[in-house]
Amino acid sequence: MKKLGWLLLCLVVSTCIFAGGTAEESSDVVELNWSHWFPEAEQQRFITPAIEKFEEENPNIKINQIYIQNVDYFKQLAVDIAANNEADICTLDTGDGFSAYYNIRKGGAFIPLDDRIPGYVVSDGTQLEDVDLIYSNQIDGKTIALPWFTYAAPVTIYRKSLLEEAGVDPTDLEQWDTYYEAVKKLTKDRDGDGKIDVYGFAHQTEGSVLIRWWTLHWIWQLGGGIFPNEEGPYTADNLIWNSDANIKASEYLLKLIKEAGPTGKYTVNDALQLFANGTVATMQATTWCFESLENMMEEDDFKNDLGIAYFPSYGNKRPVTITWGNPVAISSNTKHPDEAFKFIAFLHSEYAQKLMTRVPVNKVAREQYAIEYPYQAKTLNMVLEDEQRMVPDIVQWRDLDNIIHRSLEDAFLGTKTVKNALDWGQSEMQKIMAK
Amino acid sequence: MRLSEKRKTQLFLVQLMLPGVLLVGFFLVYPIAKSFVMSVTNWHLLRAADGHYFVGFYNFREFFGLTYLKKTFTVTALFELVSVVGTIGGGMLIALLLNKKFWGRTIIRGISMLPWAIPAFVVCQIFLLSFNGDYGMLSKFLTALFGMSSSSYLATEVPAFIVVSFIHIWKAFPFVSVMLLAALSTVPGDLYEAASIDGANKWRQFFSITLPSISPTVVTLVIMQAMASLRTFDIVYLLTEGGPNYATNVIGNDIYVNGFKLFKMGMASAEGVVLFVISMFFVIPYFMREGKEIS
Repeated sequence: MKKLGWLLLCLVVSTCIFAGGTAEESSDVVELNWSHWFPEAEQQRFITPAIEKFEEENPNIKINQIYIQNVDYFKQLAVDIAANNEADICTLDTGDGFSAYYNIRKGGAFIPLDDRIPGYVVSDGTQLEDVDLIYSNQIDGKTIALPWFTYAAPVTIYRKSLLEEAGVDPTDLEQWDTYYEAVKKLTKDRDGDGKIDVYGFAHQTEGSVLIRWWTLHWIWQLGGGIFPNEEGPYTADNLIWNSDANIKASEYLLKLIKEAGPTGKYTVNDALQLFANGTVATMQATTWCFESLENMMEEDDFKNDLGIAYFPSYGNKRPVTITWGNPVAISSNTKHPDEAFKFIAFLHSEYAQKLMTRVPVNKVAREQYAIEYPYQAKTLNMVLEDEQRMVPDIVQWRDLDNIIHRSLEDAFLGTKTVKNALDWGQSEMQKIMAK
Repeated sequence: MRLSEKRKTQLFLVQLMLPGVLLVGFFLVYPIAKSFVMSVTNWHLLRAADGHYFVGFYNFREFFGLTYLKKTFTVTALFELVSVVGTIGGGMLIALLLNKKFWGRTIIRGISMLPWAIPAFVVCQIFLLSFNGDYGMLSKFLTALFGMSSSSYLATEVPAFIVVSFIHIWKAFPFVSVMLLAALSTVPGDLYEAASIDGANKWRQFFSITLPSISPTVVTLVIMQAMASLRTFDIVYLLTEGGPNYATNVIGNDIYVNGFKLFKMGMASAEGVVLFVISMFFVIPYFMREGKEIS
């Protein structure tokens, strides 16, 4: 009898666990999960208000945010897709590529949107097709995500007071040869104690995504890269990682780092911090850097001491730049694609886009953005003049990127010569592509 | 049918052991077995659409064909040696000091456990700042003391290895010191008195009385520390991610990078199997010792 009682208890508990473990939707309200990596401050600024407005207009749809820290997000995304467990709406990064995640599932992890976009009008009257970059996120000719917002890179930022003190003209920052002379002039021991107090230049030396981002702009300008113009065919024979252009650009950067930059291993965020406190006089930056600097710098310094110059040109070669974004895609496993599309389209409405601290793709919202965020708007205008390029969106990208990080770190930390570091990278990448 | 007393006892024992066996099976045996299976498949997370099929020893060939493998094995072996010597030596020194009576001994014993208690992430963040070439307190100190360049110690191969080993030893030795302290407390004091009367100095007493008396504990700790160092990942990953130029790339870190950064689960599992085999060189003697002591 006692045993029967225990058995019944186990049965009841198990039933409760399984019954309570699955989220039951009521027949009236559709719940959608949306995964992203934007922390609390940004959620409060431009995500939660957009969701609240959308839910107000669509009381039968509820959006649940699934926040995953940036460093873990794409790992988690890959695991979730492989387990058929990803959110209904997934935030992507054009810089990380889509192919790797899209191809995890047969038939694609995200649904094509080309049939839904034409003629679609968002609740505020925005024609979806009028939004910038609306068809830009494609795989095999199919649009698999809407852009949401964009970034632009790069420009050179500088501390006006430090340039004045050193007698450097901002236009000196716009050519490779004069930039080198300028940063050397800016590097100084101000208090005569034998230690450098101000560095003329900073560039990430720690191997991670950003070392690649920051370095590629220099490399691209000389005609180098990973593949020619980062276009196919993406084969082992077509890799150009140890080309003369790459070596020359990397050696130039190494010269700047050694002679005018902080020592050791550091990230872009470390460099921004040094820039904010006046230890670094110039560095390259993207639109998101200004948000960080606004938090790091004194208000007066941010408003009045921060200058922007064009990315240095090599002779008459214009920079090759990047605009990229964090588009939003709909999972091919979602049970509610129509509602999901309604929400991601809403994210491109004037209301939602005006909340953005990133560069809006809604043209009306961008006019207001330019007033509120003049540095970001100026950056965007400056780089849109140049050729835009993107890294290869291929399945092997993650492996290649890992090799590129190590190769550049070895080069910039001096553990290998630039040539040896790039030769090693080329050889490793060829093995990957040959498989 | 009524069960005999013996059967009842056996059934009772099975019922008691079942939860433990199930837990061990689910959390230990199954993952290990799964790793072995994955090591012979083409398990790549980003290519899940292709399915996972048997590829024989392909992953092992890939692993043994890595250009940085020799360096990884060398670094792992050196890290093992340095860690074991450092933690046992450091733990022994602290245990001997704390075994003596002095004012505040209890407080010092508590403080000496702090490195072990602080989470690895916090420790690594503190040391990352301290070893920074431009504003790190420790790097300034070392520069002032030895006249070494103040370039970041984590950006150069040999210093990076030394720093990572040092931090691992710093974190691990308190546990060793506690175990040795417990062992030291079992050594009869009159042995030292007799040795003093016979004219033995402190060194002689240490090597002739202390060490032989606590040798079972020391041997056990050596094996445990060797096994723990072999699977080190957290400190290496948080400080250097195996760089610069694979100078701190222990096998544990490489498994993580291949499995969770590059999603090459099959290859990472193959590495895990290799690590499993290497660790058997420590585990088998450990259990043989345990078996001898029990019998």
